[in-house]
Amino acid sequence: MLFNSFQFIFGFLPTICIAYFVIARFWGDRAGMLTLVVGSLFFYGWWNERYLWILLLSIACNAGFAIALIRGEQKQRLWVLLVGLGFNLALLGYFKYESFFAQNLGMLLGVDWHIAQEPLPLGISFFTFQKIAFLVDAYLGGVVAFDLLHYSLFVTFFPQLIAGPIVRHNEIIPQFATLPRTPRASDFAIGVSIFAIGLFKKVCLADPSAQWVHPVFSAAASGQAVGFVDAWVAALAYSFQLYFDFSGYTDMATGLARLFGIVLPINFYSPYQSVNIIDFWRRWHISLSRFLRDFIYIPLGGNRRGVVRRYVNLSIAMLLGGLWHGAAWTFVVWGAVHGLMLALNHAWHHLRRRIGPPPESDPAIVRVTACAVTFTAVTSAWVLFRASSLDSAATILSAMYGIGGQDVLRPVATYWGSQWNLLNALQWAESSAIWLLLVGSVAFILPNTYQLFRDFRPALVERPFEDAAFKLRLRWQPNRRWAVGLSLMLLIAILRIRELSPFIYFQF
Amino acid sequence: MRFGRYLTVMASSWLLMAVAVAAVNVAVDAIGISPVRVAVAGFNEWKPLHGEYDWIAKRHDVRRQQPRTIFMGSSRIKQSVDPKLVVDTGFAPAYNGGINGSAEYAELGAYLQDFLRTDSNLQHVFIEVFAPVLLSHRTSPRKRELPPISPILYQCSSPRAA
Repeated sequence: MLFNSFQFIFGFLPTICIAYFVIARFWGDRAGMLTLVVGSLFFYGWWNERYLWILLLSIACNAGFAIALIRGEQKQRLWVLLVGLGFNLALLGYFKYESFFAQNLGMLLGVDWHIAQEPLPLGISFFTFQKIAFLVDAYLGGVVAFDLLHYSLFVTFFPQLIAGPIVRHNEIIPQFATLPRTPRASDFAIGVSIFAIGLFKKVCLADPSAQWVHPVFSAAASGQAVGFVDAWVAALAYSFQLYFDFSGYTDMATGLARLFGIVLPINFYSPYQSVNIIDFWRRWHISLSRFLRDFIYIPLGGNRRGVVRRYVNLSIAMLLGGLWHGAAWTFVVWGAVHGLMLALNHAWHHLRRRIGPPPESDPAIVRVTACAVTFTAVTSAWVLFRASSLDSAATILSAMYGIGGQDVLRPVATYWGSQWNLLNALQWAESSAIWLLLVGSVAFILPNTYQLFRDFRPALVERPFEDAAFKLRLRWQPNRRWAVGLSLMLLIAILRIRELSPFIYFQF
Repeated sequence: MRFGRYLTVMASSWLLMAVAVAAVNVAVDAIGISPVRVAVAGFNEWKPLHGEYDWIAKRHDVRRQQPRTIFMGSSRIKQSVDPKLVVDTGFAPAYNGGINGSAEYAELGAYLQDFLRTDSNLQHVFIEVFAPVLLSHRTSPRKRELPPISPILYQCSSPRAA
């Protein structure tokens, strides 16, 4: 079931809210939590009930590992942790990477291995990481007690089950002790408002951007040449499609959790306003960056073993982060590119601090330029993220940068012979430019949801972000203007829901 | 403003706007499927989208008009068959059920099922046949079903797109 579907908005959501609050009020907190678990499992099983068994099996096994880690003897605990990690990684590997590894191993050995890929259970990458984090925390002594109901709700809670944020137990489980038994008007007002903004982003900004993306990437995938303008339009449109898709999903998840009084960790903070790649990864998919930092980068040694080792660790973490997104070379290369950019960025900062004032003291013009450069680099890397193969990514990137003999003015030259084609090309360029300008303004200028709702603790924040003063002027308040404005946004978004449009991050 | 009042204002303004949108849609009825059939010249008499949304409009037309004869097929039928030609024959009243791009028999079969269910007068159905499509369908028959018909909420994209 998708958040942006009539079944969810008018069926599942009101039902689960009513069921939870009625049951919690009359039968107590634990009955209410059980209702949320059952509802979340129903939500998950809506796509394919087979996925449900995988999720339940995974919960049961991980609960066993967690209990053994908490209550077991010191000698056995390391083995339990290793078996637990092995189980989770094997589950993820079987469903997500089996075919990819078999094919590539077969290619290396010169054998034609064809393994039919099992359908990927939704959100497996997210809930597997969540369980791994729980096991490691339990091993390190961060979990002192285990409650199966709390654990089940921690894993299955439907707002964050499919596409994150990747929550940690110490952020969520303590909140279960104070779950409301009756609907709190403040939580509902904040939750519904954030949900409305998220739905609007997804339906009205992300989905329409796809029209500029699909034709060009499909053409490149089928081996056709792509022009300079078309390639840039597609890359920029995808950049904004992905941005509003993920940002919209995150807002919706945040708003939905808030209806039940739960505050999720921050996951998205205007990443395209970043002034460098390091900054970008502090703002994009924050919970994944945090996982990669805490469970890959730091265990590898982090920055404690010298400069070179630090860059190697960064690259490994990003490479695995890329592979986490999908079992394809495009994702691996995308991760490697980001790893390289991060390493270069750290090296540049290191150098600048030695020879002059630190980058933080740069004047506004330099920061705006840095933001533009970062956005261009990120957008170029997204081509790898979206393309169906490395070849098609190379086709589009070559067209964007005039590499390999690509003439940047080829579209005009191609279309010049036919007035009709030229007019079509201009119309495409003009309408796409207007659209990109519109969505770009929203991404670059308007405050994000967390800035709008910052007076009402919309999310758990590890450390505060530095915001431009003008962004802080616009604040959500429970007044008539916001109520009417957001209800209008909600109505427009609901009226624009036409066909099933899954979130891009659902595939991971 | 308190949060409770905020929620009340939000819900009531949403409801008001939704009712206004529904009322305008039902009254203007650009596709010609509204249960409210008041035609006001210069306002809603002309149904400009009727021909563009065949997959919605034709089902409503058949349910309303209860024709005795339906011509089914693709845009060829839609463009070339005039039901008025059979006005004084035993086939009257007739209806042109041609749908743009609808040459697939699983899809036509779904529409036929729908017409049979909603048109109690239906006695004659003429279906356009393309030999290659018919033969390929015979080797790999597929059954299709249409979503329930609704005068307000409808599928904006053709069912075949799904």
